[in-house]
Amino acid sequence: MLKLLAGLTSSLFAAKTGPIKETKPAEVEGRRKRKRQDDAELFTSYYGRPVIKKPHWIWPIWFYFWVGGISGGASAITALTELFGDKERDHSIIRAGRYISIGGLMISPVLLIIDLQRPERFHHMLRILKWRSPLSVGTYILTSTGILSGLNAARQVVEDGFIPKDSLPGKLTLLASNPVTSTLQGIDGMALGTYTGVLLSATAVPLWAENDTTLAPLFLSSAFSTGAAAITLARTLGGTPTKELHRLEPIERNAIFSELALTTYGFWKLPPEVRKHVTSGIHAWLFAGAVGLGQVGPLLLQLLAPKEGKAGRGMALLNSVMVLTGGFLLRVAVVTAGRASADDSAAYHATTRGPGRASPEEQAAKAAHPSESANDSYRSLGLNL
Amino acid sequence: MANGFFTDTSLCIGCKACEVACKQWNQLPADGFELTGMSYDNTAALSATTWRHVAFIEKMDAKPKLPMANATVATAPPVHTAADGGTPGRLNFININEEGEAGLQIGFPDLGKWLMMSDVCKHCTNAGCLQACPTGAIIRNEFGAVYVQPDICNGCGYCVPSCPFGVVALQHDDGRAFKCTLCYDRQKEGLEPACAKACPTDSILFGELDSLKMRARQRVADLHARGQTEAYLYGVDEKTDVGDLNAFFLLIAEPEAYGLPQHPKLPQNRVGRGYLAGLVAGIGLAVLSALSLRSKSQPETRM
Repeated sequence: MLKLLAGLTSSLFAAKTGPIKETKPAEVEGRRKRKRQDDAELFTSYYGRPVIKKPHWIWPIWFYFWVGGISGGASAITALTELFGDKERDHSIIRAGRYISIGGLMISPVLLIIDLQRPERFHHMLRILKWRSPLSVGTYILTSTGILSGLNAARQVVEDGFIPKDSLPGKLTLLASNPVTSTLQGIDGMALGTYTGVLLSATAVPLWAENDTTLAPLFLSSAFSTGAAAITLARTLGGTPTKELHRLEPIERNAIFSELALTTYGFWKLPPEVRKHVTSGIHAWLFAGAVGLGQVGPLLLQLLAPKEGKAGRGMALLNSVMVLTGGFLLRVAVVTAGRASADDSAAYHATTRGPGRASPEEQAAKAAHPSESANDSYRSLGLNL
Repeated sequence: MANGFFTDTSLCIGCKACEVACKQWNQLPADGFELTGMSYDNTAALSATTWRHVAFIEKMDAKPKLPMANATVATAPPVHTAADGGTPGRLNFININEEGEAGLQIGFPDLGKWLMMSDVCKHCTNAGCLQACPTGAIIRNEFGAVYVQPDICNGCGYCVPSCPFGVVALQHDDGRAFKCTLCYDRQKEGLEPACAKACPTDSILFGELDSLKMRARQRVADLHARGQTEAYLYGVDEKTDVGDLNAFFLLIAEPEAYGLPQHPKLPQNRVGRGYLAGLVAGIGLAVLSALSLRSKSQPETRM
């Protein structure tokens, strides 16, 4: 019986291998080699398909991160100037800062609501506060900064004489806004610049997740530099004397040094699979633009360019525009490169290696001794929100 | 009481009954007729309108592992050895060992190893989507499932990148986020979820979590006793910060092969670190700014 079966199968074997025999052994070898290679690739990912889903964020978010950063930075610098600056000399900084922050904080919610896929339900953001959700915390940061900024900008409107000081609205405004609201706005503005970085790093997106300690300070530093640049730009166009225009340069410079250090460190510590998305394609150009225009360029300009006369004025203008453009490119680069890294299964898998699971033997042992497994249920440790 | 799924991929035959049952019960629209060209899997991924997804992994070089292989047949004629051009790697009904003895191999010749897995929302103990949701639309319901309330969700999309498994997604024409509800409506009526009901091989088991886990561990032990030593549980007895998964799996290859992360991380565990780094930078920048505003204003006032 077995003999018969063997004979049958051998004839089947001969028939089936006929066409294969005709091909050259080397070719067969090559094909098999390629196939084996494919298998190796196959087993390190599911056909290279994305494991996680990328956020839908495009231009409204780029602009929001930029404008929100400028408002936050301007709020902080205004408050610091009010506290530590020279009241007479720095008046134009405070004035520009107050108007810039309220302008930005009026645009920001609009951009965020545009980005919602159900914009008519925007107020659902305000029905709950969750400390572990940066988006929820950020909603309240944005709302409160907006209100405080409104109060302080209203004061500026009264001080500028657009509303008479002795009229009822003028009196109420001066009553409602004071150095305390200004300081609070400054602190809130810094939170506004920070939370957007935390928002990104508290996701599964490889580029953002790997930069969990660098994105928030990077965005805050960029908020300081772009905020200072926006104020300087407004003052340059508004006719502030040239020798006063460079007043915020040290603040800007400190922020840029911090940005440069954080960008370098953040890039350096990325695993190669994730770093690829920073150094390739359009993202490489965006990051180059962000570092060149927003960081290295302004530093060189401040070091080399004249600070007085017409050239000094032009330099202040160019410097501000460069910092603002660089800040925008930084936001675009971080968001788009992050989205690209989310689509890359190799990048995601590179960021999700860690202590292993219980071995099958240990799992099998747990089945044999059910009483022991009751102790290490992660359910009891975890936050069951 | 917490209920969940135990998806035993060693029993999955890739029939996709779960996908169909899920779509039917939840009245989910079709996703179009797109061929992926990579395998029999043309669903490709979980989405807002696909809450069960059967993954097909074809490992062509693997030999079927059957206990009856290489039963020696002394009388079989020595045909087609590797030396005379036969390709034992491809069609090996007959195995010929070094001594020239032919063995009978029972099993499919070189069909390789097929892995199938019905993927679903994991309903994590510490769910990234739930913690990220700023509107409170995502909740944990009375059955222990992570549920998106469609009347609250405003389509901010923050849950989407916050899921370490890439499950929840925005529906482009609706705007809201959708994912597996663990058949909330069926459970309320005391019915098991549609996919588990439809599964013809009981690859998908639904039940109370503690007993389901015990059953799963027992299954691993059984498979190991039978020689299937690759089998292990994914989502149970692991030290990950997403905690135990309410929908867990028995896998027979590395998690990456199925498109699952080796070690899923809870994104919200980075929140504290981020704010702290921001605070340090903020204090630093504020102090430096204050110093610069002070130092420059003093010579001016003296003049």
